[in-house]
Amino acid sequence: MSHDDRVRAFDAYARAAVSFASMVRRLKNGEDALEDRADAEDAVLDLVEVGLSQPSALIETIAAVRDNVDSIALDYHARHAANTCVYAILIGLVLGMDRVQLVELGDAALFADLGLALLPSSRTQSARPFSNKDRRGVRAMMMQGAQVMLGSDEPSAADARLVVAAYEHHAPYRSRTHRTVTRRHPYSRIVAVADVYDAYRSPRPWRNPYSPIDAIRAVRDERDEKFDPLVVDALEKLHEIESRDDSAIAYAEVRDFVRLDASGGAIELDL
Amino acid sequence: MTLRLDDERRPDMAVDALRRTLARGSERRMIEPVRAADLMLPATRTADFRAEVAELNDDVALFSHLSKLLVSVLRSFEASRTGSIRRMLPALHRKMLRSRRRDDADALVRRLRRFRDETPSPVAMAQADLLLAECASHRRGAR
Repeated sequence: MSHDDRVRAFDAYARAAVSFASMVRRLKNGEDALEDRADAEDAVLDLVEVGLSQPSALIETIAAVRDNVDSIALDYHARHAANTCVYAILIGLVLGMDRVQLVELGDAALFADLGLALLPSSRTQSARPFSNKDRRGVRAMMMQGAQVMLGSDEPSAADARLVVAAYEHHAPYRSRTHRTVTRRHPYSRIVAVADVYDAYRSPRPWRNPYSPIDAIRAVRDERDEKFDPLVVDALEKLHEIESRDDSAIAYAEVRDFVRLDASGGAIELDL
Repeated sequence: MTLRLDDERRPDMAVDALRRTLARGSERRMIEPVRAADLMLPATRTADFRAEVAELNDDVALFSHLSKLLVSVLRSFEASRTGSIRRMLPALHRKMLRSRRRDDADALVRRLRRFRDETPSPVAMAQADLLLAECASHRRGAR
């Protein structure tokens, strides 16, 4: 993988996450956040370009974020938003979506949980289950997030896509009462899987992060129930690549203290 | 070092710090390059999905989808109190009329009427009346 791809991926990821964090801060202060939204969308465009050129660079970016989660004082919501965006773009790639669709999807994924991010951190960081009052608060915040996305009385199609994904991505693929497939927008179905997979992989105050295998298993358990089966299959394809990366890491760690001798015939340990 | 990534004064520095942290943190990674084409599922498996994306991404289909969603949101938790839907639904209705998608606009009005007739909440009913009045004014304007 070229050095340039990695640099571009890290740069675009950082801009997406920081713009999101800045947008949330402004909204909480009652300020206009349109400029941050434009910066975030610009970053998504670059993430898509990197993904089309070298998807491994995006996978590596997520891995670097996970490896350094303790040294990055990035709010969970901003990190999760950027990770969800990257996973959604990668899933879109696996599903053969074109460049324009990937950008739309990336934007939808980045902003999907904006409403949740507007909740007080004392609530979102707590292990206590949500009460009915909390749920009402989440819904009100989702509305506020939607209002920000629509921005004006004349919503554009791009705005509408963001709102649709923000509302729908927590809804199940198959109706629990009628057992029929609900007609959710395809972007919402992708964001749903990307969102949940990243949430499982992320540390939360009340639990450790799931391993990749446990996370994929948890998503697979709800295939064709909560999640679109084709989207879950696309995630599994990505998981294969991520797993290869984990094997490589294990090798790199061993390589650091085990070196072949000059003849290549023996090893020496450097412990 | 801890980073203040939401620091409003220096977002460029926050981006730079995060970028450098990621670059440092990935030094040990040996990821195998993969081409986008190699990642894709067979086109025959994804054809229906891609067709659905194209179909629902048409602007008017998208607005129609959003309006259905907003009415169902109204139904589920009276979000009209927040004022957002008060702005969104009429805007979508006007858009449909301008796009000459009268059927979609009619469907939205029907959904609103049904909601108005079924809701037990006087507040929601009053909101629905306001929305319907606004839609009716769009129609008069469109004629």
